[in-house]
Amino acid sequence: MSKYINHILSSFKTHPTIQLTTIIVLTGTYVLISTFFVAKSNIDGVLSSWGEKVRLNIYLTDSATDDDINKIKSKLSKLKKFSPAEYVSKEQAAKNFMASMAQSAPDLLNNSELGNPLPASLELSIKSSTSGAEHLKLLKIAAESIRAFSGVEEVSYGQGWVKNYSDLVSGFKNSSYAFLLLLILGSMLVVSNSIRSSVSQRLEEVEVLELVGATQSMIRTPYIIEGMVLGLITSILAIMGTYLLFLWQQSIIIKEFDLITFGGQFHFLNLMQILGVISLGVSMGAAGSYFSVSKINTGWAAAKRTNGANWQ
Amino acid sequence: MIEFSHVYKTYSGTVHALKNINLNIKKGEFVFLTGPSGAGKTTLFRMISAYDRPCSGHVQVGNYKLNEISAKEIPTLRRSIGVVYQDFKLLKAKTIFENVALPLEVRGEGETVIRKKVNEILDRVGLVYKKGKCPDFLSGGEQQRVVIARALVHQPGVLIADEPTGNLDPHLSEEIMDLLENINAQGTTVLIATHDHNLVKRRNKRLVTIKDGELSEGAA
Repeated sequence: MSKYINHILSSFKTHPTIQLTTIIVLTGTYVLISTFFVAKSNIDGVLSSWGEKVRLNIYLTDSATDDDINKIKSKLSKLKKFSPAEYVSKEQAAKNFMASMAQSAPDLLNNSELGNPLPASLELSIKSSTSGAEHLKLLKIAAESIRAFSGVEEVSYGQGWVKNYSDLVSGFKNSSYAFLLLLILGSMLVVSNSIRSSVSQRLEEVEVLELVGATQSMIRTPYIIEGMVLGLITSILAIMGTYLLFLWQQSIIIKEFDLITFGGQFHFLNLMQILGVISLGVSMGAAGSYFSVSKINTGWAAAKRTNGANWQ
Repeated sequence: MIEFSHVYKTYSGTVHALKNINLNIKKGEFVFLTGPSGAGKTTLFRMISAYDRPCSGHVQVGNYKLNEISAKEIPTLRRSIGVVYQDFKLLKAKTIFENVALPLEVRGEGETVIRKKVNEILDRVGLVYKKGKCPDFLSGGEQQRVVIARALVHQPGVLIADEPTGNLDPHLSEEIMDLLENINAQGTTVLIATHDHNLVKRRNKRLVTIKDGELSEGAA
């Protein structure tokens, strides 16, 4: 272990500018990645809270019998991604309607000629653990399976709105993955270039080690560990930097975007996400180092350098 | 032990460094290789130490055929050879002790063994008192002795030395040659490239000469 620590310290001592530049650039990259995760997690929260408002309404015919209703309920209880169905009788529906109209049309409550045109219904919503992109598909399947039942007059779930919502969630999901991939590739390129500079500066050492019979793993391991340590340091710095940004921007974002009204709460990364960013940093560091050192440490480094491009 | 058969090596353009080299060195032999600068001595040595590969022909060192050697076998072959490079190839950031210890470290020897063997060999080349210094603080002759120590510390089966006495005074040259003869007497095959014809004459060993990339037995 001490030889790996010595290798890293010697790398910092001999190439401080390269190492410092790498730390700054990598920290910046991981701040972007962490910020992306914070944004994604919060937007997901907002979208989920919107999704929880989506309800499947099954309007029943006036002639629907208790047996019909029980059969529908039994079918609904098998839909695992939906909350239990809630029965709303004709009278309850009328009361709910009256209550909601009390302020805007108070005369309506006193109109005895109006009767009760509202149907009884069964209402259920999608469980909050379900992804927003799945909502449209789940609602369509559930509606199709219920529509044919005896006693069902109509099934409604705000089809147009849910389609727009699902498209929005899918679009966000796809574009966010593409952006994340881009950031990950960028960070790998930065680590790779940095380690390549470090290895190039130590080409002589790689050559001598090869010539005295060091195996590839003996030569590469210290560089891979150096990359992992760089990834670890920079991802931790990035998390700290992102947290400071989060504290600074938190109140502004809540105020500007009014997230509370959507039931959302602006939050930082959870422990798993923090560990995810750190693991990503360490893995990218290891992968970037491996790719750059393996290009040089071919077993014939000295011959390649001596003979140039015409080495054979 | 070392066998060259119709070996050619061409560098960029049409520089023929080696032309149809045929050479057979038996186990335990002591051979001098002489020839003018640029004749191909270093290239020949590079083939033996798997530093470089031939363009055509066959080179065999021990049981390893260098034309067919796999990437995994290269380190094993190199560990069985001790090489004194003309340009030393010492690591400037490491101490003399650390440089000499490298062949033992890559073989996975323990610290106690490494300390004992490195001190012994540094004592034999007269540099034990400078083991904590880095190469830049040593004279050319001292650096050459460090390279010799590094080539011998793991008691290799084959020792190849490119101008091992090139930077040494006559007295020290004789001491180093005595050391190499002792190593040879213990069974190590030794191949030495040198310009020093007097040294060759005094030692009365097999001599091969290379000129313009072509090899011949005896003096040119």
